[in-house]
Amino acid sequence: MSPEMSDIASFLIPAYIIFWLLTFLYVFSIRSRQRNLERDLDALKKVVEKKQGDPTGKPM
Amino acid sequence: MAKRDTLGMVLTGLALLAVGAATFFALGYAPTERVMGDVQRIFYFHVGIAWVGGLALFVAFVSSILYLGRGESRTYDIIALSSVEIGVVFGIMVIASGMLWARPVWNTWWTWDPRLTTTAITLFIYLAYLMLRGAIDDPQRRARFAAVYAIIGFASVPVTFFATRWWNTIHPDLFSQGDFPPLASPMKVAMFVSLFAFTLVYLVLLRARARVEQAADEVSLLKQNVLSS
Repeated sequence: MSPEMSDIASFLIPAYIIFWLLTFLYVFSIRSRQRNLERDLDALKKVVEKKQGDPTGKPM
Repeated sequence: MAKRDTLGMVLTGLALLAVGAATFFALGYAPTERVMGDVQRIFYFHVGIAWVGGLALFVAFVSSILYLGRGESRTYDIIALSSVEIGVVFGIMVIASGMLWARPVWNTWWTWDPRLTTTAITLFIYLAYLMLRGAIDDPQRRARFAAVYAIIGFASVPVTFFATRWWNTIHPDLFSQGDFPPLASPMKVAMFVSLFAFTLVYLVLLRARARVEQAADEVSLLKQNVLSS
């Protein structure tokens, strides 16, 4: 492999891969946090609905 | 069920198209640099990433000033926090891409050059911002402290930017000559396409990250209501 090709394989391609990889990981982390919060929100809304349906106000 | 975010989807689509175009301009359109060869093509993404890093920290700086100056509105705190987090992610990327460019060109992965050193210091300052935020329980105290920290911490950003002029450095300076940037025309085009694409990526990430924080606030409020009722 010529030195020029070796530089492309060893440095140029990894530099672009690092960008895509870190961006993907960060987007994945944002998406996963959002999903967990949406799950919590749904669960809490159900608790509130149950409480409103129960005149004693005690959680079921 | 999650609400449909049309603007977010349009922005994401545009950002993906723009990054695809930036990749084409960097790898296929820009000519090969005479001295460094093809490895110089790292430059186009490296500059775009560095730009977003600086922009994100500047937005955090402005939002922090607005937070303190405009009645401590949570919106500004959310923007500042989201922007710092993106700034840190892009700070890691700029150092990683810089190291991959430095190895074949300077024959070393890292050197204590003023630009590199100030970039690393800036990254650590904002990593500390995120860690310190997590250590304060009271939301109002946390936001106030974070705003003051982000305003003071921002001093490291212009120091990093001007490091190539204030001290002897081997890092290239795009602003050193009258012609900005000192590049051949196709290279300029590739650089500006990259700057535009990365700005869109920043906007997409900022929106998405801010929405997470808004959802967290909603959960926290509902939890308090459930516990107190």
